[in-house]
Amino acid sequence: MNIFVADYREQRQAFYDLVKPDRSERILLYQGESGCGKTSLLRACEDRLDPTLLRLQIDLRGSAFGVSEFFSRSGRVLKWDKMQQFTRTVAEHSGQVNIKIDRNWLVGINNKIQVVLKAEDLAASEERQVALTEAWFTDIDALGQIVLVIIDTYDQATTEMAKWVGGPFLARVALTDALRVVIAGVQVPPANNVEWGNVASLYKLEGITSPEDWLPIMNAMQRRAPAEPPETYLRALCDIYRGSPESIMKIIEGFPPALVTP
Amino acid sequence: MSDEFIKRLQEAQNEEQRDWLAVEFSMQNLSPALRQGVQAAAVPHWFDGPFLSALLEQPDFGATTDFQTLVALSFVQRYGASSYLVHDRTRRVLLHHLHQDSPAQLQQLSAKAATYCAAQDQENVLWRAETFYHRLHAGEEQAADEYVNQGIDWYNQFEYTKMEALARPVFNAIQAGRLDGKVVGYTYYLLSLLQFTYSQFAEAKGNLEKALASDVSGAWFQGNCYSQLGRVDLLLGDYEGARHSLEAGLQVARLSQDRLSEANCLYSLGDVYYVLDEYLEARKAYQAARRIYLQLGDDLGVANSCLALGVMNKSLGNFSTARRHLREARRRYGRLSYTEGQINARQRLGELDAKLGRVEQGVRALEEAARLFGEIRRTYGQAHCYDSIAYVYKIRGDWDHALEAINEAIRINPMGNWYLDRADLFIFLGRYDQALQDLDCLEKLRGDPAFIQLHRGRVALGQKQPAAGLERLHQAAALRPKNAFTRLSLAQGLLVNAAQAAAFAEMETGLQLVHDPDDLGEMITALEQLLVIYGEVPGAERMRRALQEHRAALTSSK
Repeated sequence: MNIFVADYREQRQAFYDLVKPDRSERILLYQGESGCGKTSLLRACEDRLDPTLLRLQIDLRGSAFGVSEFFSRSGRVLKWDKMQQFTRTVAEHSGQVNIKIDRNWLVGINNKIQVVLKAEDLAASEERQVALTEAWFTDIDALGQIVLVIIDTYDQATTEMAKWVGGPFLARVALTDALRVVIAGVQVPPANNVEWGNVASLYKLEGITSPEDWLPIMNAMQRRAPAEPPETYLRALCDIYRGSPESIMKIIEGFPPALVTP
Repeated sequence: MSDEFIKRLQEAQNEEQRDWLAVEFSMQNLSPALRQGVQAAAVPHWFDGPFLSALLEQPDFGATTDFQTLVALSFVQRYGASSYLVHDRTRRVLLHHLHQDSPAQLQQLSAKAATYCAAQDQENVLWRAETFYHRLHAGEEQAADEYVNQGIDWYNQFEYTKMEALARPVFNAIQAGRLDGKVVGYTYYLLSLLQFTYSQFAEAKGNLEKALASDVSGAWFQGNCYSQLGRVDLLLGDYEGARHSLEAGLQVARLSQDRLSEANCLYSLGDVYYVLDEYLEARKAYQAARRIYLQLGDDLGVANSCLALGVMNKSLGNFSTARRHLREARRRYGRLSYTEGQINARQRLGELDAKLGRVEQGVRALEEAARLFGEIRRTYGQAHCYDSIAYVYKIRGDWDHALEAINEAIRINPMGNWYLDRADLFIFLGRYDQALQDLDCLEKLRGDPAFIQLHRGRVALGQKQPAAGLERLHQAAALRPKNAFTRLSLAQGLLVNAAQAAAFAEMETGLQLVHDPDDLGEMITALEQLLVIYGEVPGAERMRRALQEHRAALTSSK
């Protein structure tokens, strides 16, 4: 699919501002109904990011994505050799206190993280989760550069993941200069949280209701409105679908092809 | 502007109809092959070329321009590195119409999807969960039973994320009206297990009630739902509800001759009776559970029952029987190499030593148990040991050491019930504001409401608010009518409110419920403290004498 983003200028600007250095704001929340264009907005913004920026993209849609998978994936992206505190903590909790952490040991780290976080009683598992989280943030702090974490479809997070992200993860993000987080979903963690609410901004995506914003999209898709004038046709669609990009895009796709001018 | 399509949109009754019109409009210019492709692509949660080719039974579809056109449609998104998915909103409406207008076609597509998924890596949870999802939609006969067994297997292996990945898509399909029958009850049951694990007790209760009202009638299922509901009720503080559910579960288990479920229900009933202060009933239930576990050769069940019987007998003041059970539990846990159980038994034996006057030995054993819990990173157990140490010191009036130990428990595990015991200490020390702070904390942690009321009542009495205190003590006794502390504290509350006759009647009831002389020691200290605050209170001397005499009688009978 092609990524077209109509409007959401303010929301896009907030995304670009978030990754600037020396920002007190660290968390950006995009909340909106299904089909309002959250994923497209994220992808359009990501496309314009500096390619050297360290970033971790996670889509929680219908998946079995848990905290252990988050840690595993972050290690692959940020490189395990830079996550020394974290790997050492995994080793300690695996009962390997004095082991040398080398390439061989790292081969099975995903499995080791899973085993550490899997415990018969949930309190013990949460406790280990806290230890790994602390270690992970220590490593992020030591990286000396900004890391961006983008979490899409938060509303489909597993219970474990939602509890962790909305709890210890964001609480630590608020205290970590180098980390920036964007979360999008039909539901997102409540922004009035006492621990991290002061460094977060919530943007509600309520659809794109102005036909002027849709005209350039229609032209880029090389389509023409079935009735004239196109603004009036598009306005009717915007009113009926309350600006839902997913629905309006589908209909534009069904429009006849644009006339080719010789 | 006049347009037939806009007119139809304006006439649409609801959002679902408008969404469907958008899909129809979008697909009007697509070739029949492409339209068929879109419909098939909406069946799985994600797809790629080979998957869609399998659904369409066109081996090369993934390599065609039709496929490229399909994945470029605005409502198709990239998913992961090389897969795609139909956007939720469009998928929902496509599936709804497929189910409504051509259920046989949906079933066929699901059967093909199930076959394709089953041939993928079944160790990967996403493929495994997706296989079950399609098998259920395909109406496979064994699918529902195998689905619930898979969920329970994962639950028993503490694979909660996997279990959620299995049950949640099925739940969404149930909500959308595409799945019915046994799978509905099974799904509510699986979700309730997860919610129980994540302490979402009210939600778990709701889903268990739905599971019990579902089409699943097997005794195994009903028994499990009832016993789980009993455990949930217990944690929600609905003790009568818990008893009712567990008794129902027990009846189902007995009718179906499911001995293990019977033992589990009896064991949980023992817990309920214990919380309800019905110690003799609790002991009977644990004994019955242990007998069945022994017959079944369920060693862990036997060890757990022995531990429970040890704790129970200690509460009943049968110290030598308690010791025998606790040693037996420790031995059995050792045989099973179940470290946590062994340490638990060790802790309880330490408590018993201290109770029998071997204070130093008891405290040492408790400290050792705390250290061992620490080694295996069980902070709850570790903190519990310090709470037990605090109790040992409190009984001896060594407030400083008691406070030190309880502070350590809270430091190690701030989510536990320790605030209640620290509030109790603060009340004895006359530090009422601090006691109230701890009780506030405990309320947030959903502590036992009866004991929160009891201590708030004691604080009010201590702050010379006898009427307010009495009201709370009445509430506490109403919540826990068979608890010696609530009844004897109420008796003291009545006394300082100049209701002598009622106070002595209450005291008589309370004394019948006491099994441990140390409990009376605490009540005597509490009474003396009240007398310091209120001065001479008519009837106080008689009450003190009665408590002391009963204590002496209990001590000599041990």
